[in-house]
Amino acid sequence: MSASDHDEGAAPKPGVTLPENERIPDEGLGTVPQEWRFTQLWTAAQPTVESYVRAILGDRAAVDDVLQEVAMAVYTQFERYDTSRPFVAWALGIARNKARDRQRTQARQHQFVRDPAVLDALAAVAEEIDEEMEQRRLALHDCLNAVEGRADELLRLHYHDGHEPRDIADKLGLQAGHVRVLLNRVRATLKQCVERSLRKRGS
Amino acid sequence: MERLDADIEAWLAGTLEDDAASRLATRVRDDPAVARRVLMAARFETDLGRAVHARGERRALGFGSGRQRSLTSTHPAAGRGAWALAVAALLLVAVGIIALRQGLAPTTGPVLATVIAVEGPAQLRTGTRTEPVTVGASLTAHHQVVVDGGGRVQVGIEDGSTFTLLPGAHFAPVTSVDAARFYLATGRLEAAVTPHRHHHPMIIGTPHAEATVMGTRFTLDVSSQRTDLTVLTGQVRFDDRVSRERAVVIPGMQRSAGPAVTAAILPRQPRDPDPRVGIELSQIGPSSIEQPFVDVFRTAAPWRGNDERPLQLDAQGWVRELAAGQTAETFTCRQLAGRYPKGRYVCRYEGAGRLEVGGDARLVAQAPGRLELEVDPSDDGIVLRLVATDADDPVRAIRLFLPGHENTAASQPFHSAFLDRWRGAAVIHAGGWAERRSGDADYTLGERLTPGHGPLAPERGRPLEDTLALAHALGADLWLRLPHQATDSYVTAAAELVHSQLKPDQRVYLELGRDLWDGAWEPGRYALAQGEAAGLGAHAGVRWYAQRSCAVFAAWQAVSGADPRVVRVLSASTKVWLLEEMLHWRDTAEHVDVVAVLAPVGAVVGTDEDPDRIFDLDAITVTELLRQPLHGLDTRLLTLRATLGHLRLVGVRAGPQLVVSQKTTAPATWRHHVHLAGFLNDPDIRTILSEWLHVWNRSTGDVILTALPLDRLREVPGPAGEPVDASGLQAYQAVAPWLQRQVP
Repeated sequence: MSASDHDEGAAPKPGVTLPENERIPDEGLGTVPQEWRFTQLWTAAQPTVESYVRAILGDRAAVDDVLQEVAMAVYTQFERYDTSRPFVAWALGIARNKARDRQRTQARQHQFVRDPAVLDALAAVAEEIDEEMEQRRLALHDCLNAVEGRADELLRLHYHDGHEPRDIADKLGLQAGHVRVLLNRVRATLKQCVERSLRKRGS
Repeated sequence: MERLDADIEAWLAGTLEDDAASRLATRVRDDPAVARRVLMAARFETDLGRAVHARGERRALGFGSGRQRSLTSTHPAAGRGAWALAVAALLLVAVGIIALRQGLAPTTGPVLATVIAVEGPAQLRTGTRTEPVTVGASLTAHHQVVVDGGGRVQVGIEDGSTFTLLPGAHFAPVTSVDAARFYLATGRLEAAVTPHRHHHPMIIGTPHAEATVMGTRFTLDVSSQRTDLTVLTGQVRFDDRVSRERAVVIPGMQRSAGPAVTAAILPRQPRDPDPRVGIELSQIGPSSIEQPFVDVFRTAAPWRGNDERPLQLDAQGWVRELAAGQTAETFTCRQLAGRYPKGRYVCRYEGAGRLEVGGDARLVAQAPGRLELEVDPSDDGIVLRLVATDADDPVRAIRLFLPGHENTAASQPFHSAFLDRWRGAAVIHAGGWAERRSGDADYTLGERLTPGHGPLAPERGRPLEDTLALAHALGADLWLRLPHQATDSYVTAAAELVHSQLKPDQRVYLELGRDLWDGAWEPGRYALAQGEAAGLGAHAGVRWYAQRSCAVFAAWQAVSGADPRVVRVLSASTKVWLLEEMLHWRDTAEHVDVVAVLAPVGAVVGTDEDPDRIFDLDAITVTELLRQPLHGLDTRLLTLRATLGHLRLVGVRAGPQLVVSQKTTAPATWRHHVHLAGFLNDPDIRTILSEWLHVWNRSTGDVILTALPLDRLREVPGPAGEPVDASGLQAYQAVAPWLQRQVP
């Protein structure tokens, strides 16, 4: 590699030669450890992958299990990740296969996306909306700050503590159906808040 | 639309009836808008769960609210029990890493943890400053917490995890990348890691193993000799760094790793009794800061004519004849700011013709075949202009001797300052002196560079004889890099030359080409094309490189026989799959003695999308980036050794290196390169490289070849009329003590 290979108009410093071959540090020992790169990429991709798995499997417990398997697989195969491809697309491919594996052991009632064409359609859209959803996520954080009282408690019990509506109903002395309705209302309110926030930013 | 949304919500809640689910699936398949709606609903659930979770943990820790908790209060997560975690005793062998931070004083950088409770004496160290630890203190990568006898400190990270540091603990946050890495140099800590309900993985490394955590309870106990993992609930993947065994550990199981456990399976590295630091020679030319020869014409620039007509050169690169009105010019020692020897130079040549001198030189005496020049060094260098040459007896074999070297140059071709600089080097790697050229054509014996050659372009390298002579002068082993297009006849001739001169105790390392495994640059593409033409299938370039290397070694050994002084080298990146692909291709591993891996202390500091971001970097940030690869280096080396089996592991290109982009063909301009190079003589470089060499020696006991940014010496002030003093280079200061220890 000569100096002129790198020169884009600026004159090389006289007498100084560029390194013959600027080598990729992460090909050598002098590298930011691989797991740090993995963690960065996986942290960014995980919400999209999780949403995808959730859309395929529905069942919350199954989503958690499969996501764990996906994380394992992505980590163990990370050396083979082709950096010229988007990481999200690669991780979604692994998620697709793990979700299919899970479906084989699932009850037949969960037929929603056994068709591979449906899996592919969801994967394509998941990658597409990745960036847009980041804006929505930020808006949701703001909207959540306004939630308090009973709604706050419901969200905490369901999403933070992991209780199903039936258990929440037992704790709060309510009917399970009523808890579902209340949770749906909170979700609807938050969705409206997100939409308002996005419109406001857009305007 | 409401019906659709209701079905989607029911599906995500797991309550949708079969028929409705089938209908929904059909719509998803056929209508991207419906697929989008399903995913957006799923994503909303995901984001809401994360947001609620994060808010709960922040509240529990008091982040942002100014509230503090005492050590005796109960963490909500711990109180629930389900996610209370793990006692992790991480006795990482990282004292050296901590020690490296001594002397650093910056306090800026991302906050990686916050002190949430303190009991008893504890110190907060920032560089050389020490102060008591206080509640609320923000910890960055520049801080260390040292807990004295009777003290306890609790720190929290933003996701809700806490570490309780017990007496004797010496703890430091490490990374600004993901806030998930910490080191405990000594002592003990208890970790309560927030259950990443959505399975954000946390990877805990020890000197011997890695535990990948995704929501579970377990204990890790680490000593200098072993790591023990016991899983209480859930499961943890456990990767032994040395044996490379991998296991998923379930409740009730225990798994161990470390020297005490794996001694039986760790391949033994042939170990030299002494440190084995060598050097890679830098490319040399008329403007290189390093001028090794007492005959400075050896680094002269290629001939250049005074007009557009091409010069007629012979096979050795000498001007065969000049057309009417034509002259040929060359120069040396240019753009060195006059930092080369002053005084009376002698120019000798063969043939008939007329040479004029210019630049810093003034002709003071002449005779046929001999000129005397008075040189007063400046940035212009010495210019020689051939204004006439006899076509029947052309001017050739020009030599230009430094003052006082005319009569000794044949027997002592190297400048004493150059020899003194590198004396003690265990191995001399041809590096920038290696003969080479681009293109796909075979590199034949007839093309080989030989002594007495005319002026050469620096990128062509030097005749093999020069490297061999230097290795003799320094009493060092010789590392040859043969052109990747070399034919068998070239290899045979090189072998005959080397073995006619190799000393009884001198080894010759043989390597074919440079980085042929890397398809991102021309030699790698050459290997790929050769491999594909040979129908070698997947990884054709890597496979061709492996099998062609074996063929070259065979051709060499047809001359040398089974000479133990011959060391056969395969170079590779540190990617394990690549190493395995190369070594397992046919029986390559049986025909190789050494695997040479890239060992630069390097960092990628920009991106392809935004290369200009490097101009915002300060020296502290850059040196911190360069320091990061030190973390865990010893374990990475052990992993490599385990992968290589009986083969030796040698490091090459060990020196500071900064690049803008991870891509080899970086989009960096000269401006970017110069900016980054400006960091390469920072005072911290000496410490970092010195530690690098120590870790290498401790972990492998084998050869490491340094490649230093000698060009940085241009910026070190020095007197004109004298050669450059390498001690002004921080990286050289790190290497010099090793070289001194190796002087016989």
